[in-house]
Amino acid sequence: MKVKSKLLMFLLVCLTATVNAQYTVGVFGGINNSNLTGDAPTNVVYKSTPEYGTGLLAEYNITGDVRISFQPMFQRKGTIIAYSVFSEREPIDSIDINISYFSIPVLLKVYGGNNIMYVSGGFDLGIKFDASFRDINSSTELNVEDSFKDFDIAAIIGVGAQFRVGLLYVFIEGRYSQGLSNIRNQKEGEPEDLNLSLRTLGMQLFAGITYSFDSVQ
Amino acid sequence: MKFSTKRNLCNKLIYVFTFILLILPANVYETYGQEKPDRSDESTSADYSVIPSLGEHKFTPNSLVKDPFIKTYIRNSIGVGQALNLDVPVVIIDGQEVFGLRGDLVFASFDFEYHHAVKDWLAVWGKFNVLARLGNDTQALLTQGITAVTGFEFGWLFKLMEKEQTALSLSLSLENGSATIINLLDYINGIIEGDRSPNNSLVNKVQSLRGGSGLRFAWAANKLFGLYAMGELLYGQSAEVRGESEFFYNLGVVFDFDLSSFSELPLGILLGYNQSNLQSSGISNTFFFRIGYNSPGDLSIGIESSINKVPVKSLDKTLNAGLTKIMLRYYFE
Repeated sequence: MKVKSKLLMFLLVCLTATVNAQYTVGVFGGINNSNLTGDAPTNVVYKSTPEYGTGLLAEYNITGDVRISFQPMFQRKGTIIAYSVFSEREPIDSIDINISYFSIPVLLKVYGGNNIMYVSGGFDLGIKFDASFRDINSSTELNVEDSFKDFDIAAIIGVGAQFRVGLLYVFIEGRYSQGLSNIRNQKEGEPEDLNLSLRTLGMQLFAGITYSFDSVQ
Repeated sequence: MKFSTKRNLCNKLIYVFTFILLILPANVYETYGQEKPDRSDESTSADYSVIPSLGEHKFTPNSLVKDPFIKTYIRNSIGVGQALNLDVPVVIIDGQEVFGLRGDLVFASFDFEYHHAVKDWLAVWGKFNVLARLGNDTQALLTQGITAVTGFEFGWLFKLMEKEQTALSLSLSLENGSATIINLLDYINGIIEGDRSPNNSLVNKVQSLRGGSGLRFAWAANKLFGLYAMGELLYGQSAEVRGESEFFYNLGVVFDFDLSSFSELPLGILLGYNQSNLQSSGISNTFFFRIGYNSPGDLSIGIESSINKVPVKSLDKTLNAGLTKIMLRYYFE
């Protein structure tokens, strides 16, 4: 509860700080087709898994067509670990890894000439909430929070479109997110063979509603 | 089954959305009642062209040195290459000489790029490339393990300056590469030495993530002659199993001759040189030649040939490889 209250306060401060000056606030959510890349033990394949993300956004117009966007959000990342088995042609989905993050993407958005299409790019700092390991076959679930680092930094590039609906704007955006830092936390006593370097990866599809304080112009 | 279905649906949704966004700019004008730029007069004019030019010089695109122009285009190239006279040294397994022969390596390359001009000062791009070994010689296959390399790259290109005869842009990019390596020789030696750990595996998949920045420059000396130059500095993982992060550089220059400047031939001839340490095994040098057709409007197609001198760690020598590609670039604006 304490953590949630602090996060809520942080979000409110973020939003009110920008609302007073200008320009756009909103909510959004969507799916994150998440995966891990990096070192894989022998006979192991990482497969993407559909996760979700949702958050608030606050944007500031630097110029008429360039905005800086803060998008504090909760999102889940993870992967399906599939093992190659001698008797099967395809690797068998065996373990579901989920990592929850409170993340703060800071993006630069540049709108095209028609003010509908835009591209976005920037960085996303993720702060880990928890991490779980689930055996798909037996549904056994374990907390593996210690196996992952507290922070994840990712680069984001996206393309989206926004449409005006009355006083509001509705947007839809596709993003590619590539983790830049190793999220694996090597624990003491673990064999060196498990000292794997892992990065997050995601294809994300988000939609949301925004309100621009200068939209009445 | 449940996970696969969800995953497939998720993938399909994202691909469909991306496709819609790609085709959307063409329809957005009509849907929202904005005036679509009228090019009907321009397209009938011989002067209308979206192929990059500075002054009176029309630049021919190439795949060796990236250009600084803020344009919307798709580029596709497909090619075949061969590493010639690859001397395979005497291979020793468990103290016994197994073979020491000469062989060739044949490989195919494919890449696709979409480059989109968002503003007249900003473009974004995404690129996908594959290099796969076709291999026709057992000994060479045994000692040279890389069988497939795939890569995805995206980036932003900012125009810093454009004058009558010069253009300069700054790029920011992120590359995610993946190499599949089959190393039979090391695997067998590992087994003989009793190494049964996961580190000693027959097939290794190596990821390399790199990010960096670069400058791209173009200069039009006159109607006939132009020049491209490029310098990039990247930081990231080396393409080796559990490789460390390091800095990489990529430098290149291409001399561009536009034959249409003094004749009726709509051809461009390019000569270029590139040096980099992107291969992780040392400094590689590339000598480049291209002859291409530039349409009066928006298409450029050409044949590119290059000779690559790439150091190979495991053989302790430089590999000479020739690569020939057909490269097509279509400009939208």
